[in-house]
Amino acid sequence: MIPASWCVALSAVLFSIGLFGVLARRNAVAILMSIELMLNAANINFVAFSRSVSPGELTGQIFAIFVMAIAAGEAAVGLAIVIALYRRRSNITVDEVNVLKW
Amino acid sequence: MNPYLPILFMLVIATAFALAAMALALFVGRPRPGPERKFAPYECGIEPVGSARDRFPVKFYLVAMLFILFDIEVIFLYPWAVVFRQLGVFGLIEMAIFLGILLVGYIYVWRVGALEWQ
Amino acid sequence: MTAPSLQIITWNLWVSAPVCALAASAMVTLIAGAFWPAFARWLTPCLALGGIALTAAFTILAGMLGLPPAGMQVMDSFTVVFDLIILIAAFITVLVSNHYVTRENLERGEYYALMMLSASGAMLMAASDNYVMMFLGLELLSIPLYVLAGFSRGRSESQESALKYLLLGAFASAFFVFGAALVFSATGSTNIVVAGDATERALVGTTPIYVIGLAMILTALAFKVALVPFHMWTPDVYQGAPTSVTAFMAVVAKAAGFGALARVAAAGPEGSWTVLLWGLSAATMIWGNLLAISQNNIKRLLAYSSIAHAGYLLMGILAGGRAGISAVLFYLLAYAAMTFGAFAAVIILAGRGDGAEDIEDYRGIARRSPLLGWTMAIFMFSLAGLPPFAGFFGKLYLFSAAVEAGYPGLTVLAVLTSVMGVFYYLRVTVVMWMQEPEAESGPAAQTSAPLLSRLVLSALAVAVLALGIFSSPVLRWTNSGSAGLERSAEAAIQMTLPEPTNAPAALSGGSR
Repeated sequence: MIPASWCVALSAVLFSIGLFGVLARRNAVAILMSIELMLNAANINFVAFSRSVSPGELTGQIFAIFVMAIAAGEAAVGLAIVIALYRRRSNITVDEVNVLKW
Repeated sequence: MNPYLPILFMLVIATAFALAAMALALFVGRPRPGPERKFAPYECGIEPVGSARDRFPVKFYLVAMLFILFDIEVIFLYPWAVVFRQLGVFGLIEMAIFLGILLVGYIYVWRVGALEWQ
Repeated sequence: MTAPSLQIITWNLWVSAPVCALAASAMVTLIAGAFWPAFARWLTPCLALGGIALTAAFTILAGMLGLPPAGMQVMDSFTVVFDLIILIAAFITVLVSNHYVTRENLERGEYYALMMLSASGAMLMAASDNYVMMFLGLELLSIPLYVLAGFSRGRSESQESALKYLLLGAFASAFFVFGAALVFSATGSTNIVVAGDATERALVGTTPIYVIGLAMILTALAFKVALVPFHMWTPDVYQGAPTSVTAFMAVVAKAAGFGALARVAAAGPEGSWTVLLWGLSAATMIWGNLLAISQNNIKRLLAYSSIAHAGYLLMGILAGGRAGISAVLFYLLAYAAMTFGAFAAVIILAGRGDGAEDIEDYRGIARRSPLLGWTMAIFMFSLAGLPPFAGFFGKLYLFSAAVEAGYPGLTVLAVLTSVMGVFYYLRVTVVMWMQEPEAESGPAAQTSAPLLSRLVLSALAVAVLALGIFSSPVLRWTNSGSAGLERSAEAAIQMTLPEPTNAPAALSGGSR
C-alpha cells in the first residue's frame, strides 16, 4: 500500500502549485483553474486519510464528493462572470480590471 | 513477489509491441501520403473546416456550464446506490428530494430559455 | 449499518428544518420569478418576506424542542439566536432592496432567490459543528453573493466587483477545504469540538498538522469577515456591487463568518492561538479606521468602517466565554441595524445609476430632507459608538468582556481607534448638516424616496435608538445564545468519551 506520507506530499505539492498559479497567473480563467487544483489537493488528502484515520467509515470519500460538487458550482459561476466581463471588455487579464482601485 | 511487477511487465510488453509495429511498418509499408494529409487533425471522418483555434459562439459555453452542473450531481448517486438496500425507504425519499431540487434547477433553466439555441 | 430510527430522523429533520425552509422558499421564489416575470416586481419580494417569516417560525419552534446534536448540525440556543439575527437582516435587506432594485431595473426573480439562498448558507455556517458542513454553508453563502455582486450587468464596476469577490472568495475557500483536510488527517474527525479535544488530550501525535489546518481555516474565515491583512477585496467589492447587495454582504456575510469563528475559536490551541487573534484584531482596528479617514466615496468609507467593526467583533471572539460571545451577538444585531440604516440612506441619496456616491455630493442635504439628515446622523453617531445609541452599548459590552478576559491592552487600543472613528463618521454628518450646497457640484444627491423606503429608514433609526436604551433585555437574549454554545461543546465532548457510563448522560444532557 502507498504510505500516507506520499499522499500528503503529493497533495501539499499540488496545493502549492495551485497557490503559485493564483498568485502568478494574470488570466482569470487560469486563476480559476489554479483554485480547482487547490481544492483537488484537499480531496487527495481527504481520500488518502479516510481509511487510516477513520476506519470503517467513509467520511473522507464522501467529503471529497461534496467538495467536487461545490467546486463544479463555483467553476460554473466563475466562468459565467468571466464571460460577462469578457463580453464587455474583450479582456480577462486581472491587471486590466481596474476601474475600481485594486 | 512485488505486486507492482505485473505493471512493469505490462509497460515493457506494451512498449515493445509499439516499437515492433512501427519497425514493421517501416520495412513492409508502402510510401506514405504527403505532408498535407499527415498534419491534418484526423485521418478519417469529416475533413476539417477551418482552424480549431477559432472563436466559438458563447452559446457553447452556456451549454457546457449547464452540463457540468447537472453532470457532477450524478456522483452523489453512486454512493447512494451502493448502500441503497441498507438505507431503505429513508434513502429513497432523501434521493427523491435531492433529484427534486435538481429538477427545480432544470425547470428554471428551461423556463428562462437557457436551453434555446437561438 | 442499519437505517436510523424514526425518532432520530425526526430530530435531524427538525435540526435542519430552518435552513431547509429558507432554501425551499428560495426555490419557490426562483420558479415564481421565472414563470411570471410580469409580476416579479411585487410577487418575488412578497414571497421572500413570507419565506423568511416562515423560516423564523421554524427556527423558534426547533429551538423550543431542545434537540440533541444531529451529527453535523446543532440546534442549540446559539444557533437560534444567530439564525434569528440573520433572518432579521435578510428581512431588512428585502425591504431596503425594493427601492433600489426597482430604480436600477434589477427586478428579476433571481435577485431575492439568491439572497435567500445566501442567507440559508449563513444559517448553515453558524449551525454546523463540523468543518465540512461549515464549508458547505460557506459556499452556499458565497456563490449566490458572487452572482449578486455582478447583478447590475450594465455597470462595469459591478462586474469587476463580482470577479474580484469570486477570485478571492474561491481562493479563501480553497484554504478552508485544505485546512479541513489537514485537521481531518491529523485527528480523524471533522467535528470541530471533537478534533480540538482529541488534540488537547494528545490522542494523536500530529498536533502541528492540526494547528496548520486550523490556521488555514482561520485565514479563510478572516477573508470572509475582512480582517486585516485579508481585507484587500473589501473596498472594491463593496463599492462596485449594487448598494443593496453591499448592505447584505456587510451584515450577513460578516455575521456568518463570526458565527463560524465563534464555534471554531474555542477549538484553538491555547497560547499561540490567542496571540494570533490578538494581532489580527489589533491590526484590523487600526488599519480599518486609518484608511477610512481618507475615503471620499461613501461606500468605500462604509467598507473600511465594516473592516474596523470586524476588528472590534474579533475582540469578543478572543475574549470568548459567555460574556464575549454574548457581546458579539449583541454587537452583530446593533451593527446590522446601523449598517442597514446607513446603506438605506445611501441608496436614496445616490440617485439613479448610483451617481452621487461621494460624501461631498451630500452637502447641505439635511436642509432639503430633514428625515435623511436626522436618520443618517443617528446611524453615524451609533457607528461611531456615541451614547445612547446601540453602537455605544455594543462596544461597551465587547470592551468589558475583553477586559474581564484579561486583554486590557487591546481594549485601550480599541477605545483609541474608536475615537479615530468618531472623526470620519462625524465628517459625514457635518457635511450633511453644516455645509452649504454647491450649485455647480457634480451629480446631485436625491432626497425623494417611496414611502416604504422612508418607513424602513425611520424604523431602523428607531431600532438603533431602542437597542441602545433597552439593551439589557436584548443582552439577556444573546446571553442565552452564548450559554447554548458552551453547553453543546460540552455535550459533543461527552458523546465521544470512551467511558460507556458517560454516554447516556451526554445524550440526556443534550436533549435536555
